[in-house]
Amino acid sequence: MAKVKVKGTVIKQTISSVLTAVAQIIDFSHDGAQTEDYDSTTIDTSGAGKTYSQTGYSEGGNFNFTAFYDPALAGHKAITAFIATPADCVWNVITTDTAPTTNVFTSCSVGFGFTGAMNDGLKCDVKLKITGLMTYP
Amino acid sequence: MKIKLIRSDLNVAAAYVDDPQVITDERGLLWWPLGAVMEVDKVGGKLLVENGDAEPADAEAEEVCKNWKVGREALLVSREMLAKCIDPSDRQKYRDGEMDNEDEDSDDDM
Repeated sequence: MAKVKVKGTVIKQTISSVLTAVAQIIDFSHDGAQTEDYDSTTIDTSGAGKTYSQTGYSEGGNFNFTAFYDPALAGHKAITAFIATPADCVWNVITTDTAPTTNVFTSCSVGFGFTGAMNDGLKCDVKLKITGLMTYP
Repeated sequence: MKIKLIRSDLNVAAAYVDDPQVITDERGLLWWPLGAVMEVDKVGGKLLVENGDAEPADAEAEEVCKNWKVGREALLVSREMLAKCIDPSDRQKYRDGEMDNEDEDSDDDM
């Protein structure tokens, strides 16, 4: 059992032939992975409780991160390029556990924005919609 | 166009897993060896050169990535800081030679 540090986590994006680390990420999150269900309640269902069943599908969810944005950095350009030219991209999230574990997912669309504040560095927010499922260890 | 990889911490994209240069580690992860040369698309190849992951390896790549040597030293230092997980706030210290690696006070597992 271990508490895994976030410092040192590497998020890699596919550029052409390689997966290379994305620079200057501050925080990241994965959300929205969800098994899909349907309301299976019928008029002869016994008791008051509604019932649900699995459809057999699952939503892959999203992967989001915030980074100090460098518009001149090639790795960041590779992300914004998806806005003009949408395409799938394979990503790796490599955590700092002893293995270390590599979680793999494919993004099908990219959300991108950047923010500035007087007392902070220029930051960008990236939201990746996962197609299929992330591989979990 | 062809590029030559100048880092050994690059994994292999799905389209290249059958390349004979690819190395598989004990965990089954696929890596490009330092110095691997490969044919790539122009856009991706240019990004990899500009990102400090690769260098042009043929005349076509030199043409696509012209001026790639401008500011190269600073770029490679930045790329190395990324690989070593140097915090943005610590970058000047790293450039000044005051730190070699990130997280010298590491206390990983509990």
